[in-house]
Amino acid sequence: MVKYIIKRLLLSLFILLGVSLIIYILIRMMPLSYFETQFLPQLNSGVMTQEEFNRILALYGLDDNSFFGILKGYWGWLTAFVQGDFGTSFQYGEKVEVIIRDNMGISFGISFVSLLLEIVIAIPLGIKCACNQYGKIDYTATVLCMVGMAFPTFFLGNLMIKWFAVDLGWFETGGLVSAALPKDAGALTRFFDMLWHLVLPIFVMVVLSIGGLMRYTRTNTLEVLNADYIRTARAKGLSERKVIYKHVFRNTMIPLVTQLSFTLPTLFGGAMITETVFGIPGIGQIAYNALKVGDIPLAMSYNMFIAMLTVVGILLADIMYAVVDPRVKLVG
Amino acid sequence: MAKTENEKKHYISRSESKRISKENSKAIRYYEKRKKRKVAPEEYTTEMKDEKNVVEFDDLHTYFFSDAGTVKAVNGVSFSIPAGSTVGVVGESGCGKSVTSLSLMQLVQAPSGQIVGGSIRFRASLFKRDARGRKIPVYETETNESGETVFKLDAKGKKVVKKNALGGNVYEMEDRVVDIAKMPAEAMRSIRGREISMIFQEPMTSLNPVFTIGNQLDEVGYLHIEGITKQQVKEHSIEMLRLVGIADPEGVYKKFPHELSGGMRQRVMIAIALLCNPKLIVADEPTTALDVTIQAQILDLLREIKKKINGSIMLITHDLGVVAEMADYVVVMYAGKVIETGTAEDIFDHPLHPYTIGLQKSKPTVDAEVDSLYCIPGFVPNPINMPNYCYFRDRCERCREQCSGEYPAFVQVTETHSVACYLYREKNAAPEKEEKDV
Repeated sequence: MVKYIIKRLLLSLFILLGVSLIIYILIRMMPLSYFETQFLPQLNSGVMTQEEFNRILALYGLDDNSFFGILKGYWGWLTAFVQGDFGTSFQYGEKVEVIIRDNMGISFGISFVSLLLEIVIAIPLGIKCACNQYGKIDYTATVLCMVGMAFPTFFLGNLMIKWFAVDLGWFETGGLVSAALPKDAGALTRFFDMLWHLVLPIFVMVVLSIGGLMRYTRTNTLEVLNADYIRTARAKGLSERKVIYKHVFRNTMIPLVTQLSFTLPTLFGGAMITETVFGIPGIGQIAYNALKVGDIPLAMSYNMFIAMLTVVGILLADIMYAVVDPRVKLVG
Repeated sequence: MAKTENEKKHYISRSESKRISKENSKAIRYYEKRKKRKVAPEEYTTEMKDEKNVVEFDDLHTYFFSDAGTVKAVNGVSFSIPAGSTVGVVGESGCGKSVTSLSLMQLVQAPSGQIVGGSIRFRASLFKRDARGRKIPVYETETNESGETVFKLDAKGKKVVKKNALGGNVYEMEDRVVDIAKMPAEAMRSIRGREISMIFQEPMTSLNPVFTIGNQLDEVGYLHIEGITKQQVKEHSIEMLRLVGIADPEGVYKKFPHELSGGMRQRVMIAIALLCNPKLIVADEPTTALDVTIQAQILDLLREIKKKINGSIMLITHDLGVVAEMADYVVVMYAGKVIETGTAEDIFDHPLHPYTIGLQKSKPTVDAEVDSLYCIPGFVPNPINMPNYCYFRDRCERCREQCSGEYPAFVQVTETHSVACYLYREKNAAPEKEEKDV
């Protein structure tokens, strides 16, 4: 097992190398670099000469846009990255790791709470639906979940803002701090004020994601319910509760745990669209902006972070498989 | 053979499909509700027709409410299982033999499959319950100095509950004949696994892959033997594994099902079935999925344990050889009905029903040289629209004019042998008398 994990981690180094190369090349091939968009007005109005501008580009290693120039730039980025120097963001002029660290907390909080709610609601609901297949509960839950799944994030998000924040005025949106909050408010008041802002985004994320997991649970439970060993369990005289929560659930868990391991990157990666719609300064929104303006150090570090989490998530899924299913053995 | 308008069509029109699903959901709701209701035990208590029997099936009907229509999988089956005997139920695939056995356990695949009529009488020994529905324990007694019999008390002054040989509490029991077809699911649970246990056809998939063999055996012990300790359950389970001929019971106890071969798994299934000393073991094609040498071992094992637990076996199979070897009585089924019953001798030496004769003829033999095996011509009628005449009529070589009449009643040809066919008459030509028992 340990041997297997080490082998997989070594293998993933190569994957990450490939991923970083592709992302770097793609960012460099964007039509306008950060500095071009930044200094274009000055350049056009003659405040800055072309030589001065080229000097700035050369300073950041962005002057040569030929293939080998890009490779050279990549090499520079890679050696720094491996040594633990993630670079300084063009936009913010701050260390990348500081930006990611400062903004990840809120994103992680939102994702974590909504994932927890999703699991707590979707899995029992899926099992309940499977046990009452084609019953009233099943149809109602399925229809509601489908409706939830069908909404685009920005649409549902804006709808919620319109109804509950603007029309009814129940919740605050736009950032994390109310305008009306007094400057000398205590930490607890500030915390509750922040929670107040997070209700709608979390609600939107849960509504959107619940359907998939619920249907997945339902399908898997139905499959297990028809298995021969469930009939055996019933033939033993076990109560229906015991049959479902011991024999069925333990088998339904196998694909579910694997599926949930894949959500690791989304947990830390932030919800780009939700954060943008609700104006939450989370990592998702920051990364979206970084990509848009070509903030290479920040975009690269964020993408590498997500890539690493993905690789770890897949490894975790494989390990969890061996943990929950005794038939699976990981051999190095 | 004019087919009705309905039979000719191989599709269902939309309005028909709508009507079927409406009727199905109504029927299913009714029967599911009936299974869940709470009733007094008196409501499903009945009397045995013959005191010697453990189980009596009487005009059992089990239907499947499918989208294409109602499938009458078991359509008026009557036979009985005498105490201490092996009854073989034979018939081709889809004739309703498995569904009959699943009905006995109330394990028919719900919600589409439901027992809709008839009765299954079973002599059960159930726990006596007090007014509040609790089991009544039997307490240990002792004789005190003055010679009186008094309850034995423990250190705290509480009465000590009597323990049986396995270490479980002893409760007051009562013998009661119950009608399983009318029993609510909740009451059925104390019979499953304790009074009647079942061995399934597919040992490869009948054990839960994520639990150890030990876990799956212990579960039954904990469930049905109250007051038993962890250690005692484990010992009992290992003892059972030893009983079914597993060489290394302690090792197997810790293993997962996928680490065992098919034969071993079937032995484990038998061990699970034996754990509570059931009165009746239902073996649903226990050897079909096994190779021939293992088959013989498993059959020997079944015979041995039947002697040991002094119970009965209902053996379901389509293998005539297995029946000939194991069964005392044989029930032949065709298209959801019993067509012939008798002792093994009756059926094998003097088969009467043309279908039974056909079955015998289609068995491969070693001594006779034949080019190709005999096969009964034609097909089983469509289970959704069963004809009202004899179901075997269209395939029968000895079909008569009479056969187009209503479905033939059972005629008792000898003391033990009865057949549902117009070719035969009552043993002493008595006026038509309905005889359904073995």
